[in-house]
Amino acid sequence: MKQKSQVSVELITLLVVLTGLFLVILSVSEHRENQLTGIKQYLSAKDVGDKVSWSINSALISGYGSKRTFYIPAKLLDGANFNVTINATARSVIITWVGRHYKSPLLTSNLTGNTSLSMGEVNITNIMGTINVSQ
Amino acid sequence: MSRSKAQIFSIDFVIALMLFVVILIVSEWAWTTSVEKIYFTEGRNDLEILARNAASILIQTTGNPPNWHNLSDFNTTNVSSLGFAKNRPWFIDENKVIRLNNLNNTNYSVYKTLLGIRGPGYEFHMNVSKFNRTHFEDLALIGETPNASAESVVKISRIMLSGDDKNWTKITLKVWKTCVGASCY
Repeated sequence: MKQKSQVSVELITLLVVLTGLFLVILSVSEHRENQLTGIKQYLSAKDVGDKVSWSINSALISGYGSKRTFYIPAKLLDGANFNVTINATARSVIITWVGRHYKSPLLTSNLTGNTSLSMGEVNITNIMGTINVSQ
Repeated sequence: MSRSKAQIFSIDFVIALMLFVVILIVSEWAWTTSVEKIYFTEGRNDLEILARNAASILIQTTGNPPNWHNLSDFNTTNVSSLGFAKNRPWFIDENKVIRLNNLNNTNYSVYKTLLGIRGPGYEFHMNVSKFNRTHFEDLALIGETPNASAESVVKISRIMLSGDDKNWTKITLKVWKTCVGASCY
């Protein structure tokens, strides 16, 4: 009887320890997964923002008549929705997604055309020093 | 009785538990290191792209308006982009360099905006020097030199030509990142 009781107490202690460990692992892995999703979305948003700013900046640097074409994806990695805004005054391409944003710098404020871009092809043209964005 | 007790809390179990905890700690360390490395690499790539873009726009364009160096009000509203070229790429207008040098002390943040050097703790320093047949002589020193808190420095050198005497002018641009709070790795 005594023997049986001792084993039960130890078994319960063991179960408590293992459950505690399991909960710690679960919490850590959930945190890691959220962090990984955040990193993937950030890098994906950065990729889109840098693509837009690179096209505008390289059209400006290459001189009059330069053209660039690129595509904007429907969603970021992990399926997050996002918005692309070109702010000429702030000289930035701003990507916003689920409460976060990324800014990519532009080398000019002399921009015309679309300031808000959505999924699809975007054309950039340097017209006598003015960068035109059309979609 | 004592045998059954030993079977549950055995040394094997304690060793296994310790090993497990060690693996957990190592994986946590590996994860943190990887995340830091990703951000550090991205930051370094950013600096390189910014430096290349800034050097290219200075060398290959006249700026907008092309006579920006003659404007009395030098700000981001009047000047939409900077450039050192006189009337074609690679040929320098020294008046533009001199104007930028004269405005240096009060317009550093304007330069950063115009050159697209924006980000947490991003700074730059530019040295424009002219070849006088024997050595390069400083024409302008613009911006802030990398200090002890600089954690990453990208240096780019480009050559331009003077229109009149076809002499060389070297532009050395250093874009660097100062260690700011959580961005320090």
